[in-house]
Amino acid sequence: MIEDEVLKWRFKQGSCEALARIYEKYVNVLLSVAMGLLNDAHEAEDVVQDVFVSFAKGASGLALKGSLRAYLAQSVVNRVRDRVRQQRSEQRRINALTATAGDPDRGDRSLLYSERCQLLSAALAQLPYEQREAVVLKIKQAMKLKEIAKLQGVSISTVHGRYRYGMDKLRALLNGDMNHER
Amino acid sequence: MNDNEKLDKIIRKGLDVRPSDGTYTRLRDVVLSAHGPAKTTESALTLIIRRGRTVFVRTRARKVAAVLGILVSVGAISAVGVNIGRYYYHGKNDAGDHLFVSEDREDFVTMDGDGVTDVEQARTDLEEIAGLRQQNKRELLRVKETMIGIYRLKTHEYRYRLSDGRTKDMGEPADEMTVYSQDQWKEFSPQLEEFRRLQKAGTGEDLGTYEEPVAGRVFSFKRERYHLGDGTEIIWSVGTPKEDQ
Repeated sequence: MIEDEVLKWRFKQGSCEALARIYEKYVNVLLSVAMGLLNDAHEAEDVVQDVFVSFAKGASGLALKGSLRAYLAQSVVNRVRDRVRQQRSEQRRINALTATAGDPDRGDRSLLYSERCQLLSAALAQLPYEQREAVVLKIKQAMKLKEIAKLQGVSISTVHGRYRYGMDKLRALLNGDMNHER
Repeated sequence: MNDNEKLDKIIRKGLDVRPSDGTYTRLRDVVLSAHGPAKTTESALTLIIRRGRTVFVRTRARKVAAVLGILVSVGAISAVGVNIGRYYYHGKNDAGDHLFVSEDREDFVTMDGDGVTDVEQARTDLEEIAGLRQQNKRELLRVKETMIGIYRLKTHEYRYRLSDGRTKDMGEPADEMTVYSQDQWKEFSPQLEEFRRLQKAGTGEDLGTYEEPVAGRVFSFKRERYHLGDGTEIIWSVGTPKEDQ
């Protein structure tokens, strides 16, 4: 985390190297979070690109006191929510949900992910959005329930409920797959 | 491992997305180009230009010089043989100040337009001064501190003796000076300008003197208080070596 504080400070001073390091450090986890929330690789890539571009442009005005990781994750969540609200890619998401799993690592893909990732993403997409967000942020982003509650603007018990219901439903959806996990 | 832990592990490990090499590079380029090249330079210069004074800015320490830094005397000199890299002339700003940038783009120096008759000479002077600074071959003349509300600006004024006998005085941010963001600079710069006007008009309230050790020497400080139009209190002090008094 000390590195993040240094990166934040250097980035605010205009350092391109600091921005490059922030990108390198967080691009994968942000893509994973976006994928978990959107179940669409193209959308996930767009969202993460938008987040980083906006972040890059706002260096001088950045008023960031907390965790850089949490800040970027929240930016991803905000943009995902916008997209979900606007339903700009509703058809594409439906297509993604119904698509059969292809070769996950084929060369022409812009994002690389495993078949299991695709399965998980599709299962997550079947949860109500708030539950999906609670599950993805808690597990993939390692956010505390308190932090998620603040982000969602609800009580901790509500977030806990969303997380628990989400996990129950996921467990049912992934039952067969989970049996392979040791 | 219970079901919850198992599912947690599946999601944590399984939901893993990364860009292909091409996408990684493309995205990175987009992000960096959105940021723009050498933004530090531009930002720092903006601040310097606004002040319209001769200041030395060390961005290696990412500190923007607070106030006052005056280069005096020009003339021919020769190099001192210390390899510290080159300085380049960047041109003039709107206020007519000359701007110089170090080869590594870490240091930026402005000089009052009136104080420079030979740009090339000034440039080589800077290279020699950088070498002297690296060797700490300089004399601390005075320390100036300005407290604007919650902000504290502190500069050290050094005298450099060049190899041809000429001397140059440079104002540089003190090592312990707090690093302020550009937003913070924007916030207190108007107050700083108003303070300078008040100081010129001599409206400060004398708060007496005090002594403080600086770099192994005792400095005697004179302190004054100013009140800005918006009610902000400014405490200004300047210290010189006691043995000189």
